[in-house]
Amino acid sequence: MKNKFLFPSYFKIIGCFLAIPGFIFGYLSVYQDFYIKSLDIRVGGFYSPEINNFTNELSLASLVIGLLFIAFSRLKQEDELTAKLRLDALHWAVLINYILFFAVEILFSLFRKVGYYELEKFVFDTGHWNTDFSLYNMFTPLVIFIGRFYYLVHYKREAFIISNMKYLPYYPYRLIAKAASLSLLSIIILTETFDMPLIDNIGQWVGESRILIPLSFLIWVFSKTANEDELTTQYRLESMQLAVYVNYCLLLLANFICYGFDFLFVMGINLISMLVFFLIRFNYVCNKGYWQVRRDVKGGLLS
Amino acid sequence: MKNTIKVERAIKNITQADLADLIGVSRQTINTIESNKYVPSTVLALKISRVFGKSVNDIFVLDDED
Repeated sequence: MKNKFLFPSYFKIIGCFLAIPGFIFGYLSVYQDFYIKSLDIRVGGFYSPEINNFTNELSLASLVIGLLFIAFSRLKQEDELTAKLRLDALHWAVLINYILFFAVEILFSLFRKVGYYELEKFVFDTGHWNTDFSLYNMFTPLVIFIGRFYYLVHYKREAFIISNMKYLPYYPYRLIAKAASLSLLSIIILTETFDMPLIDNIGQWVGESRILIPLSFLIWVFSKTANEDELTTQYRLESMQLAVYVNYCLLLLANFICYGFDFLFVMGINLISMLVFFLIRFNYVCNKGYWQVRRDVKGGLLS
Repeated sequence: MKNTIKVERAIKNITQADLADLIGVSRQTINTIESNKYVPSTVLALKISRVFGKSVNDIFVLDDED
């Protein structure tokens, strides 16, 4: 397995120089109201204020680009096994990140029901844990990935640690998750486009429980296809890396185009976008092979 | 899958690092393959067997579990 989409190894150092200041300035601008005056830029937005300060946008971009460089720069000796470890770790990181997200989401909605607002304020300074968590969610997958990958590669001096990802069986998980994801997504889209009281109620309920849609997409991603083999595993691993790249490119773009209220929307989308990109790419490459075989059979190549 | 890389290395008197250099992978990769934790790709298996001047079948053997 060759990994085609990696940066040269010196990008790791550039990444550190981008990520650390990005994190510090980001922290200061979100929690300490710190901003650099010269970054006030006039923007004309529908929902957004006339003038926007770009301190937090720039620091988020610097943090995310830095982490991407650290995560996806070559090792000194990159070979097929390190490529496999890297991609396995990526799957693992995405999974763990979502599990953490679900755990926090469930825990705090329980606290909210009971009325422990102080605890919420204590853990998340601002008391808006929904937005806070969506904000962390933009870079935590990368942080978890970097930790996991370097653990697998460097923890033992003599050998690599091999981890084999386990996936859920095809039946019934993939089928149910597929149906659930598509129907939930279409309910949300219908709610947003048309004004139908019945669907509106369901849509609101689905939208408010922020777990439902990500969970069904997650199960779809992490369950086996009808005939999972070596090749599909490789497609799976590649697709996840591409999905991470595409997702972060769009996120960085959105970071500079949308402000204020618009950006909350972007953070909401970000909860499932990576999974959606993965599914599109993965299903595309799997089915491309399938149709090719069908054509070959018809053409008499394989009979 | 089992392999006899360790034995072949002893016969040829080369270290894991030497073998790794010869086929362009990291030393840890050779170690992980030798301890039967990782099944190398066909390309890598062919490169390893070329170093020892034997056929792939002589070095890599299917296990009962496979």
